Amino acid sequence: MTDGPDDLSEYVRKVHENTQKYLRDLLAENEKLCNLVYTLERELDRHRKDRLHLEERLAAMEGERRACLERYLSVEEQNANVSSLYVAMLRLHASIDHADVLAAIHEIVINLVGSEELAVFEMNSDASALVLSSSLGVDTLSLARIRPGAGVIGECAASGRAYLAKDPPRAEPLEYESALTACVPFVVDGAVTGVLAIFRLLRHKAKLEAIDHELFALLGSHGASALYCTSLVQSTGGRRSLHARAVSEAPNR
Amino acid sequence: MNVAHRPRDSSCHFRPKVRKLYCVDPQRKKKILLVDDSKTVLLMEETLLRLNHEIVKATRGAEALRVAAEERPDLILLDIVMPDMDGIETCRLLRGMEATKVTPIIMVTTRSDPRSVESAYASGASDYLTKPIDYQELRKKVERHLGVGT
Repeated sequence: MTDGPDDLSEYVRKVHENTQKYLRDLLAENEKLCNLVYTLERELDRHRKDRLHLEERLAAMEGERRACLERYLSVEEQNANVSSLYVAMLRLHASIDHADVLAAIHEIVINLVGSEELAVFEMNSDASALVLSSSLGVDTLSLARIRPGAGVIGECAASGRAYLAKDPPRAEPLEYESALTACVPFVVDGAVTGVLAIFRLLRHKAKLEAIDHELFALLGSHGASALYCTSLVQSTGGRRSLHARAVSEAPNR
Repeated sequence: MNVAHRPRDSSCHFRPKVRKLYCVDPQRKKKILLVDDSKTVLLMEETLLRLNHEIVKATRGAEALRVAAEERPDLILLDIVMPDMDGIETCRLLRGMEATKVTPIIMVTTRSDPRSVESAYASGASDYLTKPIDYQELRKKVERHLGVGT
């Protein structure tokens, strides 16, 4: 008989030993896995922190990018505005011919401000009336001669202050002034030498922009001096006399 | 090496989408023909565009046809209201020329009524821009038709 009590106890002892070994292995494996989980958790934590840091950096860079883009667009707009003023100035002082300066004022109002209804007045010699020098798209008969102080245009000439349609009128508008958008006095050395009246804007131009106000200021001062200078040139015999004088006054060689 | 298993370069996986700013290689400057009878508009357009483009100019429709044939511009900015030959007729004739058959033509005008817009497109214009010129709009349209910038 081989399956005696000794064999059985030996079998139990072996099973017990195997179980204990298996248990030890399991515990060792468990410890290894615990360490691995701990390491992975730490790594995950580090990755989370890295990700958070990168997200913050990305948000900061996105903000910076937006700020740069806004700044770029604003610089572009400023550049375009400065270009408008530069072009207007260049055109006003490009000629000593009175008609050329008037044409330049027309072009500036049409193409840079955006109106095809305008009138340019110049003060007569005794400052008793504004006389229409040139116009576009308006009734020339009613605007031919305006007394300083009469209506919005006359008031603008009398006070030397610009009028904009958004402001309350300082004088009762006359019948032909109902569509007036802006009225800019030409001022040379403190004296009003004329007025630029701008009526309806182009249909796609809803309102005056900030740059238009800058253009009005430029037209009021540089337009005035350009018109005044060309009037002086005209009164002394025009362009030909200027050239003749330049030749006669040149040093003899 | 399988692309899917290629190790990722940690230094370049962060690529924010950045809008390209408007700058053109001076070596590859595109030529723009400006056509307008107004010196103010020509000067304005030239001032705004000359930094990044080569500019050629014409003040009349007939002159525009001659300059376009000689210079072969990449883009034309054409005024509608001009003496002698208006922009609509000029555009039609430009479209009939071999040199400008497919050249983008942007009409630049003070007219914004539907009839003017319609006749501009009917004459072969590629786009339409109203005066006073809005620089952002001009830049976008020029970029779009020249295929530069964003």
